Amino acid sequence: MSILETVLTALGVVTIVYFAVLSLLYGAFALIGLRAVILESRQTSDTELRDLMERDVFKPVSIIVPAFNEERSIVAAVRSFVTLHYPKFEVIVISDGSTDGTMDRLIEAFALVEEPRVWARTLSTEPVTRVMRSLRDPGLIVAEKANGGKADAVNAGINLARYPLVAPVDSDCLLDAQAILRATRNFVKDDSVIAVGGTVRPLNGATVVGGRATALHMPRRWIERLQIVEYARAFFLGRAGWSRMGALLIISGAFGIFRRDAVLKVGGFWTETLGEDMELVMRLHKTFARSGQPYRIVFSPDPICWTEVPSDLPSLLGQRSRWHRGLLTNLWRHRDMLCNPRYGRLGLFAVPFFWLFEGLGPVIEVVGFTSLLVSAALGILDMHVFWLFLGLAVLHGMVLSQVAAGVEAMLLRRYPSTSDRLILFAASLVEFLGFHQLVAIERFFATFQTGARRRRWGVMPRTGIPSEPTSPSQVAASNRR
Amino acid sequence: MTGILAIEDDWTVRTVLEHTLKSAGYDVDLVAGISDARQLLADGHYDLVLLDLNLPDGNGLDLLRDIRKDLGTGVPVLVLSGLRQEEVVVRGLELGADDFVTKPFSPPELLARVSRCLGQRTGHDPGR
Amino acid sequence: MWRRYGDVTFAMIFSVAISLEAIPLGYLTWRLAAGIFGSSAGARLGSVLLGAVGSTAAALLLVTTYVLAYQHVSARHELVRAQRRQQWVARWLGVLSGATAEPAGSLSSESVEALLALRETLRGSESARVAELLERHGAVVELERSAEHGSVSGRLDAIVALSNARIPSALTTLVNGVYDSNQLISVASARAAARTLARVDDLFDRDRGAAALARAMETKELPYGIVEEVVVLAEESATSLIAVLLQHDRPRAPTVRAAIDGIGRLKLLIFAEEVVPFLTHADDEVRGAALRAVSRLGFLPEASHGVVIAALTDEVDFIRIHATTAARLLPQTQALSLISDRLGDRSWWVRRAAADALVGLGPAGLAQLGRAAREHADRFARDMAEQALRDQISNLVRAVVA
Repeated sequence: MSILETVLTALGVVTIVYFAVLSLLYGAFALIGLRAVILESRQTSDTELRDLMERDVFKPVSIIVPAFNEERSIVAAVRSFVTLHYPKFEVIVISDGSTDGTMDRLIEAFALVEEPRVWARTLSTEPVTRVMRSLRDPGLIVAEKANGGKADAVNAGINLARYPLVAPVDSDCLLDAQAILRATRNFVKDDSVIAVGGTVRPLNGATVVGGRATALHMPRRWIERLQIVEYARAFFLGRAGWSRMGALLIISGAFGIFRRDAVLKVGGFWTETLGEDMELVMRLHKTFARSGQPYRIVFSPDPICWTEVPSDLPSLLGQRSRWHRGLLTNLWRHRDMLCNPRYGRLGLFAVPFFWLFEGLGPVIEVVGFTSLLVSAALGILDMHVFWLFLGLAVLHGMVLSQVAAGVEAMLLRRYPSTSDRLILFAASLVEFLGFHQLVAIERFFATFQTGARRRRWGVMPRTGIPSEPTSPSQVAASNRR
Repeated sequence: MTGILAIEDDWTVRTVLEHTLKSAGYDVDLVAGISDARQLLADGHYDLVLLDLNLPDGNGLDLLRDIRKDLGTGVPVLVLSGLRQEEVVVRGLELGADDFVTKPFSPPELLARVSRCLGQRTGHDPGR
Repeated sequence: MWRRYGDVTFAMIFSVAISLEAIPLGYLTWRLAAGIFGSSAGARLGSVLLGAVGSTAAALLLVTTYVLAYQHVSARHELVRAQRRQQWVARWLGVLSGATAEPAGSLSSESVEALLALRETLRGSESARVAELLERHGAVVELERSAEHGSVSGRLDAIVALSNARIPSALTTLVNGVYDSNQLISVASARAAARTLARVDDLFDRDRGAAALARAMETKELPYGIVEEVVVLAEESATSLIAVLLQHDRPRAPTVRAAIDGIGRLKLLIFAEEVVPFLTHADDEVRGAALRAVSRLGFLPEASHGVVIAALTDEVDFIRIHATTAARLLPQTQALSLISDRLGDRSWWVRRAAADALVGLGPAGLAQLGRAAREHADRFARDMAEQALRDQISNLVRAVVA
């Protein structure tokens, strides 16, 4: 009994200290992130954006859209990309061996014709079988290739890209009309910027007109609402904070812009991980830090990408499991960065943080809570203390969620009504009463299923982006299916 | 009275257009987006369309193409845009725009172009 | 796009909330880490935890109340302000046309915003009168004061307002802002100064303003992208600015590059001869920019032919790309054969540039492309030539379909 008691007590201490340190760090990041958002919001004025559009001071962008069996949403997505407000860009869609009607839909909607074409095969990929051009939209190219996974498809797109900036964008995303303009601004302002990540927000529940999210409404399901809070916290507080500290490790695969030469320099996306987006950023950091060349990888909260998030628990848990396995694969691949002073703040702080609190977090969380619960059940720990600790964890999470919701309220396009705000408040409570724990358990198990393997496409039942003006009720109806 | 449909999303420009055109004796309907404009064009008759290019729900050039194709091919279209790039001007003219006014603009110049557009199409000047 | 008010207060409230949380959590960590945690410590642990729960709940209450209040108040506030601004725009238009009397006294923030919006929307004499109104009612002096003092966010707002107002008398303030130690303020001031410089009509003032701005940008070592933007934003005054930038004792490479790029972009033929010496500059980026400017201006003196020809086989890829584009300015027979050689370059991008350059040479270039597609010794060159010809055809098809 006394050995068990000692072990449980020790675990309890570790858990509580772990939680306290994590809370303090998260609080500090949130504060840094909030400050960054405040400055960012004043940095780019409307006048400035208009100047950019009108005066030719911009860098042309190749938007790369990897797609695998997306027949339901591909046309609406591509239409939203080709109508972006940007002076010079091209859209390259890569169908990664789709077996459904993806290509047919595209051919029909955009009058595609096959065009034999030569291009630089700088990155090696699965063979591209045909390249098609649109007769309607001069800036649209569609390529079909043998299946090789998402990273492989993006690499093929980078080969085909003509412009100095490349922007991989998920095919189930809608970009704000000015998203590219705002993101590329960072490259103009600072020559050393090699990559820019934008904010991702859940599209669920929004009204979509002409390929743009025009009005926001709360989605019907709590599982979707929870993710609204989660994304706000992750982007507005987390990434903004890391970026401000010069230690951004992730640019979301849903939307990011990279300097093409930088991506080529490091050899493109790695195809053997489930988290190719993070892996590329880590490799960029590593290569550029080693070469001694000044460089920056930044997050910019304003370019916004809207994405359809899972609306049922199994898809969501599957997604989180994939993310977690990707994270661990990447951390392991770049384990030499851990506590390596050569990589500065990144090696000494960001990477260790990711190992301890993101990579191993679920294990510590699950083991810690279980041990606290067992201690309480055996009477080693006062049940009272257990409940207080749980309450503290929930309240702390809610504070951060509310701060993130507060940042969201400062966006011009926010959830408009006070009742939506109340739902977001409730969602932040619900998140920590069960949902967060479920995800932690899923990630706990994912920790033990990690191994390098070729990235398959994450499968998620799609409701599809509505291609025609849709009323909120219709969107809600389709989400209910 | 001569009816003008102005499609513009910027509130200052809207107010200036409204003020300038109304004080010159035109009848003006203002809308902020393409979908509202389509509705009005389908329902009613206008003598002139003033069209901004960067609109929240799409590109004005797409509406221009549709106006020339389906929605009453004859109506003069005056494109109002901040884009000074040649390609856009050329593309607009190809699609059948009658004239261009670049923002910022001067109200007297706008009125002159409006009345010239109306005159060209109808053969007389119904402006004032 | 963001609401630019209430966020600083929110950050302060959050700082308070975080401190509320941090104190008991810090205490807890410290006690536990110090190893004072046995079965007997349960009660003490409980009371510290209770304190932490209480303070975190207070923090949550504080933050949530602010967010809810902000949502509610901002929605109403913006509606009212938008209406007032619109009324002011209408009223100022009345003043401009002489129909309404000018308001007396100092102006409300909405009326200043309305004037600033009109300054951007109107052109010519109407716009000049708006500037006059802004100055006469003291709005400019007020903005200059806010641009120099106060919080970073407040200053940025004022600088952006001045960049819309473009009032020559504010130029000195803006140029001083370029020297600010905060990079955000410095860059915003440089842009605003450039936009203002574009509206300085007096040639003497223009040169003096350009010199001051150029000096400030050099001292602060602003990046290439910003200097380039400043040059382009200066519009008519760009000539003065470029002259000063190039005259500078020992200009930085990014500055020279931006100035030369500006010459090309704005097609400033008066500088055509000044670009030429930079074709042999030590910095690759500058050389590239000079080649690009030469192509854009379409001016290549005979004495520099050799330099461009040498650049065609340079080590650096992007030099060869720009040289290939510039080579079309060589005498035609020479141009055709040299560019055609580049079709066989090891870099795909140079091959592409060569194909485009041949297309740009008109019928003779197309004929050369056709020959290259059939006869060029290099397989990649043949492919590229064929591709370029096909692109020409599909462009034609697209033009017909559209």
